[in-house]
Amino acid sequence: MKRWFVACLAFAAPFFAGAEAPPEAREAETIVFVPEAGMPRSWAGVGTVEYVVRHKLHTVRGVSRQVEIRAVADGSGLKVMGRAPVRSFDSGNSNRDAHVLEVVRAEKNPLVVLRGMAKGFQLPKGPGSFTVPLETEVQLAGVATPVHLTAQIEELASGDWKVNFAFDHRLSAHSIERPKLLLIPVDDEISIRGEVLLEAVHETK
Amino acid sequence: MRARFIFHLAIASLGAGSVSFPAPCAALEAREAPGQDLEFDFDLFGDTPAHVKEDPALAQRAALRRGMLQAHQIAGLTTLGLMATTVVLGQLNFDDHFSASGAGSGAYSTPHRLAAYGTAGAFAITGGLAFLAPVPYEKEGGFDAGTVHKIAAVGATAGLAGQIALGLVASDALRSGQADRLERTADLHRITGFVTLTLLLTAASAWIF
Repeated sequence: MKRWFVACLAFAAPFFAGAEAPPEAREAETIVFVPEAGMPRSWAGVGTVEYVVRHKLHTVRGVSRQVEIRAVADGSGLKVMGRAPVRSFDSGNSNRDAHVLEVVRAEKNPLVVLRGMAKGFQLPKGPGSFTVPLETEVQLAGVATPVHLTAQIEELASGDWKVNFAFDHRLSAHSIERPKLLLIPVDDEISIRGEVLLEAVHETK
Repeated sequence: MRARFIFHLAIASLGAGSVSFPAPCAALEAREAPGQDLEFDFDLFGDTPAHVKEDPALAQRAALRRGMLQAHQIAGLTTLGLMATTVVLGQLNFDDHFSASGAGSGAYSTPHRLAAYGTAGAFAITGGLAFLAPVPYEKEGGFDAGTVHKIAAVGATAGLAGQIALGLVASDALRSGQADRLERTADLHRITGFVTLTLLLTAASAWIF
């Protein structure tokens, strides 16, 4: 009987451990919570996104500083959406940028759009850094393809989020004809990375 | 002994319990695997256009431009190869006529002339493709690799035009039997040829930087 009591204590111990921990330890442990239903939190912000395209003879970086991002977290998880005009990417060569507009069919597809979801996402209670794996869909040149990425997020005391993300992608996934330089096409693989400051939106009713 | 083991297990569980609360990122590990039923048809901005009507004329001009500039690259590299050939044959021709060890056979005159005609023709096609290509998307101003390419191409155009003028002067000197004038003109023609080749190389390689 005594042994059974000790065994039960062993299994129940983790459930009581939090209550018995000192305050500073509790702060480190009890870090997440699920927002209540009907109380979503949202963020809006701007940032930069950079693409890196590689060619046998050189590497090209194009940057857009006109990226808009919004995010909503509720009981079901996190939804993120970002967009940037394809015309806003600057690679330091206006001729090349015009070629980019041609290959992404900018007249019909003026925006590159990313939509992401993290189902089951739980908000951290206080400031700190955390990562969010996102299943996303990238829409470019009129073709939407799935991409998995991990965003590094630093939540500031104000509730704002500093977000960094990076992922590798393929031009062929969007049916983009690879531009050629000296008759040699650029690599199919491209790298994307971005930095965004998302400000917490305080809705007034 | 057995009771002690169970006691240790209890202590270990207590220890594990104190660190097993989810960290922020750990809370996300329970996410569903890729391929889950995710709907990406939301719009958090509320004004993202789902579809923009295509301007067929603009699309056609963009496609035409791409085709013409691909051809421009091929024609440009062909021009560069022909120009290099012309310069080499021109140097051999010069040495044949004017160097101390030259045989004066004239063996390189016709090949040099043919290569020069080919270079001029390829260069005209290359320039024509660039000039006539439509510009569906306006470009920003500023100094970049495209500017270097254009400056070098304009310089090469001037160089080739100069070669034609020097060729006419040399012919005149040859007809009138002015040997010194012919040699001076041929030397200038040779130097201009090397400069033009360098400008063409610059135009071709500008995009790499």
